[in-house]
Amino acid sequence: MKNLDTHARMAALGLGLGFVVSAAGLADWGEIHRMFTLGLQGGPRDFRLILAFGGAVALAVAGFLLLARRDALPPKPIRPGTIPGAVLFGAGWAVAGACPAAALVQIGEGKSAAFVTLGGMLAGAWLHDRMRKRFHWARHSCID
Amino acid sequence: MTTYWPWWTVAPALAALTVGHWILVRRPLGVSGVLARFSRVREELAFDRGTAVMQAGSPALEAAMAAAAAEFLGGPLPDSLAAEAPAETGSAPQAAPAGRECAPTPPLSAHLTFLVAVAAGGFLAALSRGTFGAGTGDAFARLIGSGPVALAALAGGGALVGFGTALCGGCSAGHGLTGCGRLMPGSLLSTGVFFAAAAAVSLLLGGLAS
Repeated sequence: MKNLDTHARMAALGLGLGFVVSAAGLADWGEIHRMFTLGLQGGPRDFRLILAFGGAVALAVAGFLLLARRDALPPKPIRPGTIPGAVLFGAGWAVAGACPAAALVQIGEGKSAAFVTLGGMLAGAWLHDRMRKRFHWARHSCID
Repeated sequence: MTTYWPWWTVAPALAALTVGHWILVRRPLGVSGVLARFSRVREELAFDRGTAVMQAGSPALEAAMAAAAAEFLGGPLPDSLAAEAPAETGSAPQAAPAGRECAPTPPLSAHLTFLVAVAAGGFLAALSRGTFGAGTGDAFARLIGSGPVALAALAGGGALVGFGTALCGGCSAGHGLTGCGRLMPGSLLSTGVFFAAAAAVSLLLGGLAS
């Protein structure tokens, strides 16, 4: 029963996230490209998705302060992998036009090429796991 | 040209999902870590079985540990120790009312439900716009290419995303929304760096194509 409840909540949150990511254009390669270049390379300036992201963070800050100030969410400290990992992720996001959620959304949108993107993501995560064990890198405290 | 939501609609929707995820399932919203579990399914299923034993079998586990402790001490447990565990309710000194704790990692099947639902959300949104089955778009073809080159770019870019998010411990959801929403140093740094790197690579792609 508890299990069914978890699945229902996960399904509702996933549906919401997928719908919003798609409706925002965050699964559209051209929109992602304009988000990162602000439309500077030909065409009009485009701050839509940067404002959307910045606005979401600002509202999330307010939301967590109002509703979860005392809650014990896991910490996210700076680690040795923070900068190199973020550089690789940013580069990959710009080339593939998809963050992890967006790759799934693209599949749902019927963009079959996104199966290749998703396969790449799983391969990259697999390789990291192998290297983490081989070189004894610390495991992150929380799955996210 | 597809019409997407304006920024003032997207921002509150994403923020509501970010905070709502914590309120509803007591886990920080994140996608890359959930996805990464499916790159090592066998290990994660074993992890689930361990979690289930810890949760369901706690009386048996406690009895076994008490027996082991008694054997180690060479006799029955002192009353002070034996009585402590069940009596400890309510009267324990507590600081400020504690907030909600983070829930344990849900089973892999619940995470599969989540990922499939994300794709289903994209399906419904594309249906409602009437754009289901559209390709990657003109900009992609112009700046990256088509055919095998395009597939190689998607696979390689995807691999960078998979490796990079695992290394920095989050993606645009886990770091960008949840972590930044809680002003976590690792998330703020990650988000600044991955946006800067993505901007640099995007400008480079545009420069190379023109």
